[in-house]
Amino acid sequence: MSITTENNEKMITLMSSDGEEFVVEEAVAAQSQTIKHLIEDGCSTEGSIPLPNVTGRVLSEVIQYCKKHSSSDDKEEKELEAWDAEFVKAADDHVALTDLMMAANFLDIKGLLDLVAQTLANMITGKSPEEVRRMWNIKNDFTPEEAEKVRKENQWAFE
Amino acid sequence: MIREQGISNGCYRKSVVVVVVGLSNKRKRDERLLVDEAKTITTSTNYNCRDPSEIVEEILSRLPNKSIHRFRSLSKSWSSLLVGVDFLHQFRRNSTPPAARILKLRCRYYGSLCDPSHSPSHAFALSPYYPSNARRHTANTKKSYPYQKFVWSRLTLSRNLQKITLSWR
Repeated sequence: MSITTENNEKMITLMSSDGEEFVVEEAVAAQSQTIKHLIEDGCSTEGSIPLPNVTGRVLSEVIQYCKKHSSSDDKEEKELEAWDAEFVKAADDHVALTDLMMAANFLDIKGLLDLVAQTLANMITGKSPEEVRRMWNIKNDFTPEEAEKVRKENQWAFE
Repeated sequence: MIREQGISNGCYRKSVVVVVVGLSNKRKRDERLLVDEAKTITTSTNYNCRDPSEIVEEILSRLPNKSIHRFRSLSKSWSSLLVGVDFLHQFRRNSTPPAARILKLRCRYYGSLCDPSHSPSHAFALSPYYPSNARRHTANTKKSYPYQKFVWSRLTLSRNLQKITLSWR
């Protein structure tokens, strides 16, 4: 649904996968390229925009990010960086960050995607393959011989 | 529940094909189609598992070299992702090697991939160092004069480099 507020700012309604509705300014929603395209195509005029793979919890975080980044200009870059650092810190674990990243990927918000990807990369950089497997429930499908071979080939990286 | 799905191996395997055909324009179109579809169906199936491989790729492309090699032993799918061409492109774009290494890599790169039959814009679409937003811009619009200038100056450079590569062989 598109409503216009007193100061002439067009509002957009976003609906999460669990049916929660968020009314945001168009400029905030348009931080997401996916939503921007949908607005351009006129999808926002006929009710809310459904986001079938983003839950309300994740969407509220994404909106928080978009609000901050649409209201800040270049002069506040340092402050914004500090805000970003706090923002990912608040997401606290890799599961929440992964959810956030999947949403950023689907909604096509490059800044958020970069931010979360970098945070996750920093998180796993010093970890062993076994620890990373546990983090994301990844099955080791190498046979013992294959595993040994790959390990030998990349032995220097384990030292 | 999304939280449980995460980047589990099952989800990841389903989307291996997405990496192969993972062109960003196509992806965007698909997303739009999927959202349109969702408007009428209201429920979506397997939506969360659509492309975790892209997410894995985004994370892995930001890792230091040592971690990349260590994680090759993680699983077959991670291993192939880590050695895949798509991934190497991203890795080179995201890492900032010293100028000398850029030159070396680019020589090698054009030596193997730059084919005279490629159109100029195509040659640049292949360049791992070309900024992604500029690449998209040149691919989509032909009237972008500043970028066109940029493309031609870079092309001259790459042609020179290709000559250097050939003369080395």
